[in-house]
Amino acid sequence: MREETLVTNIIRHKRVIEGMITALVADSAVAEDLFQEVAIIMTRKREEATEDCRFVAWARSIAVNVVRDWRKRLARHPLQLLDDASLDEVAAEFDRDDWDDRRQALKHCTEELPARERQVVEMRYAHGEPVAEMASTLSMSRGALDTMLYRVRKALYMCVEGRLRGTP
Amino acid sequence: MIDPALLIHRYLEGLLDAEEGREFNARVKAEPEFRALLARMSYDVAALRNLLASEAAPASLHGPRSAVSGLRFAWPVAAAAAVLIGIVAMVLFSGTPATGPTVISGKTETVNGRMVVKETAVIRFLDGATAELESSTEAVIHSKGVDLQRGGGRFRGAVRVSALGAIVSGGEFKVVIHADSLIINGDVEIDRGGLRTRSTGEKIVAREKRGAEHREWVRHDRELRQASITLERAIEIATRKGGAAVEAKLEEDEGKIVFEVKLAGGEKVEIDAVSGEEIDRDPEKTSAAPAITLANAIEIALRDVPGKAVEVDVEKDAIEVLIVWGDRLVWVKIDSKSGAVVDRGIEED
Repeated sequence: MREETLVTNIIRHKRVIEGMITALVADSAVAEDLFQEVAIIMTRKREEATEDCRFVAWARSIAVNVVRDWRKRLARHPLQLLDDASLDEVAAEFDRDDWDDRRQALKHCTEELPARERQVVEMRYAHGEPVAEMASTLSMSRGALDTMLYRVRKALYMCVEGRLRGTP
Repeated sequence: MIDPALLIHRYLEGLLDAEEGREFNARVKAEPEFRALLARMSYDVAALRNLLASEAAPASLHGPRSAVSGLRFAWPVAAAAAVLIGIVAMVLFSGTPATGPTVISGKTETVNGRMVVKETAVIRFLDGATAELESSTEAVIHSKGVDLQRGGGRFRGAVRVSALGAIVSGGEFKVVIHADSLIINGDVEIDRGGLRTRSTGEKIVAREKRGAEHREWVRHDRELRQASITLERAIEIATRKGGAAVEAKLEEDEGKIVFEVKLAGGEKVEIDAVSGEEIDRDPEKTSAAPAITLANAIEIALRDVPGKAVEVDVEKDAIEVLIVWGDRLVWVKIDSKSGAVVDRGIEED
């Protein structure tokens, strides 16, 4: 695969690959780091991929190995919540073509959020602020903030699904 | 049974307790709909980060806020957009010349004097040189150069790029930090502590680490590259005449790479790691053999950590196998009676 094609594809599918890694490691910051590793490996292996290959499937095969390596590096830490045997199956869920529609719907739904909820989502997901720090900043209890985050996430999810079904 | 969206939300937030963790994994295995929901909710996290970060991030240095960040675009469109933004930036700043490097496209943030690249960013220096920094790159931008701390990019013109103790310069080149190494592509000069070398094509420069663990890894990695047989094969050769191995390791002995294998009968055998021939056998006080063989222990350990074994040793109730795995040394402890993996970890300084 030519470098230009590779860069095009990495830019186009960045969120899908990051989302895939997030599903496997349950940590956004780690997912960002591992995405970098995946991108570097793809750059080094680009000759192995054809111009018309299924890019996300190729990225998936690399990402799952990068995640496995990461899990081994954390061998001293027993907390690995997603079973190793499920990594491939979960990653395979990302091998679809409708993610761009989802992103557009999510953009609309985010814009419709009330200011306070948008602020919470922005602090947590755009800036990666720890929930404990957010709770202090927002003068909320940890439990109340957890509940609020879930409520907002669920509202966003329902909004996105509604838009995708054509019933916003 | 917990609401699936709540269970996944708690997983993604790192809030699952042990019982929820079991339910989560059971449902991932058994329910395709649950896996699909996990994928969608995880994608939302990544998309939200990109969507909101690109909207929230402030402009940095002298750069304009990018109009294209966060949008999906194909490469030609991105390139055209970058050019367009560059032109807009030049128009915007034509009356007030920049006094330092300028971000002409992309999205960046400044954190404690360090630039954090949110979306691929192009920086133009006063002499026209450019640095195209990849997303997630972290760097300090100077008037004539870039101190890379993470990530990397492509550089054109008289830009000096320093990273991991090396300074790279050249006409057009690419530098990326990967783990503890620099991957450099192009016709460049590399300055490491005043020692200058030229390089064409791809060059990988490892960070000079002073930790004992890293020195040990470097030694083992070098020895492994020279050895043509494995630790397991050396044990097999050493025990041909009988006896059970109780310790084995790869080492350099007077310039020769050898496997030293100690046998329960009170012997130490040296095997040439290149030819596989036995080169020495001496009496040596040794411990008793464990219930499972060291060869079995190595096989079990390598199934757990797929690298190359360089040392195996019998401890009180366990057999410890030291493995070169990537750029790390990893140890795996095997129960010397049951053969179960009881612990593992990365060798640390």
